[in-house]
Amino acid sequence: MLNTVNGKTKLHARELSAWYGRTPALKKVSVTIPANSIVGLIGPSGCGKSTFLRCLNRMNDLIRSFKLEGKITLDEKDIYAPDTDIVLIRRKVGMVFQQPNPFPMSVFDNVAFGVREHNRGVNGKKLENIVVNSLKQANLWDEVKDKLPQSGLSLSGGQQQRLCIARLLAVKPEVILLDEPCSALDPLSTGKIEELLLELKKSYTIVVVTHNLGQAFRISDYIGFFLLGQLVEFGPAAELAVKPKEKVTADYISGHFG
Amino acid sequence: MVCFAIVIYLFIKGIGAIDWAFLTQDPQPSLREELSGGILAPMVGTILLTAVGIIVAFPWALATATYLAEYAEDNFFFGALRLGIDVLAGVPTIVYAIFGLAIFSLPELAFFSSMVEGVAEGKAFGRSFLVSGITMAVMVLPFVIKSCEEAIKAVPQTFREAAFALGVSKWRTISRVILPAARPGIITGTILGIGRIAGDTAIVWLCLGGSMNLTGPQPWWYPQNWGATLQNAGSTLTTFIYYSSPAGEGNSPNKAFGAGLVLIIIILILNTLVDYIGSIGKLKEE
Repeated sequence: MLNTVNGKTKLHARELSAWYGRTPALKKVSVTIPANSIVGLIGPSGCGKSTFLRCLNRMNDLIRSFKLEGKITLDEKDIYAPDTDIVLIRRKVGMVFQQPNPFPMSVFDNVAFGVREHNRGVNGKKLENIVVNSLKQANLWDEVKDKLPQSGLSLSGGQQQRLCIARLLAVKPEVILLDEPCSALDPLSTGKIEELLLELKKSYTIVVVTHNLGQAFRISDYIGFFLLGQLVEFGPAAELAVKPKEKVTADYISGHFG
Repeated sequence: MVCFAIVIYLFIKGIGAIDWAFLTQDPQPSLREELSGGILAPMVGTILLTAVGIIVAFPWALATATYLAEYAEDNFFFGALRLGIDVLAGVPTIVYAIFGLAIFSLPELAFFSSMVEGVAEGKAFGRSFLVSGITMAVMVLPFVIKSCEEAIKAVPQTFREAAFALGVSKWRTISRVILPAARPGIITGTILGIGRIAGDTAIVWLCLGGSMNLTGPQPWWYPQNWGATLQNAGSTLTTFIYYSSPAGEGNSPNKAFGAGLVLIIIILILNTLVDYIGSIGKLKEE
């Protein structure tokens, strides 16, 4: 379908439709997300891009009125199949949220939390190594190495968001979903997170929802444009930036609406 | 302002009655104030009863609150359950007391108190620290459930999402993230429960028996007597106040005031203690 970096499909959605109660949120969205790439999802508010993102790790299951049709596969396995272990899916497909949401625990415990939950046997030096490496991977180590016993909530917004990413990296997911990860951050912190994502795509598949078009084009390999619950256009970022196929995409990118 | 005035008045009237002998002697059945002894047994009774009550009530209430806040769906059954809890909160404690007495007088439940001797068909005494403690627990359940449920619901949804997104199961999310985050509210609910148990009179009166002193084997502080003490009767500071004040059955108004002051102090100490236990391991936010 698409020429990807190594030709491997990580996530695939087919004819995905979703409703909140009776309000449609997604209409027959089909998309292929290649492994080890960054996919940026753009579109005006309420267009369904966050809903789509939250379908990918079944986060929408928390909402009672949510209904879904269609199919999503992760490594060719249907994640909405009845015998699916949701907890296992979410272990593989982790998520970072718009508002940084560290737990009310120490910096160390925030990162160690998921590791301890998944692997009760890990402790002492081994756990420490995982925590330190995750913080280093998230480019946060230098800033917090003296603050490990402090509350995660005492960090700045940008640091908190990178702490949330470190916490996720510690449990070694395969896919990282980010829902407007920089919208609550200043430009400097945003820059740091963008750098980080570019580095992370070597080992992870990344899907990021963003309102910041500049950011989308800076970091994404592929871009999907959502409008009114439909995926209007999806393709390599370079192509979309220069020559979008649809007129609405061109209008949105050039700032004519949204 | 009025509350403050009451405390001041109680302090002035009560402080004179409190001395070492008052705190370390058991009460004596005498109408002459100087011979009526101290409040050791009622003090011990208050602490014992509060401890039994809250130990029974706390896990029960926390489990119910967790279930209601995190698992229960919005349907008729849980609507009725919530209504029931609200109604129970308004029931006077004397109603719980008579109910507790009736239930625990069943001979099958005699191990909570003792059998009455010489009654052919068999009847349990139905009055003991265990009986009144359990009745107290039921009485405070609605209050403790309510405040725990509010505390759990007030934990931001983002914490749940964060834990789920790490692939942590629902139960582990609740036990490792939600409940610790709700701890301050849960502690408040527990303190509320403690205050109500320590301050209640009707349940003590009906379910703990009419004796001023501990009726279990003496001395009660020997470990081998603890179990039996809990199966036997006694009094608390609230019933002591009733028995010793002229408005009740006694003639020792100063001792009643003294006991009132001690009761307030005990409640304060218990609250501080719960606060302290709750804060162990809590992280300091810098």
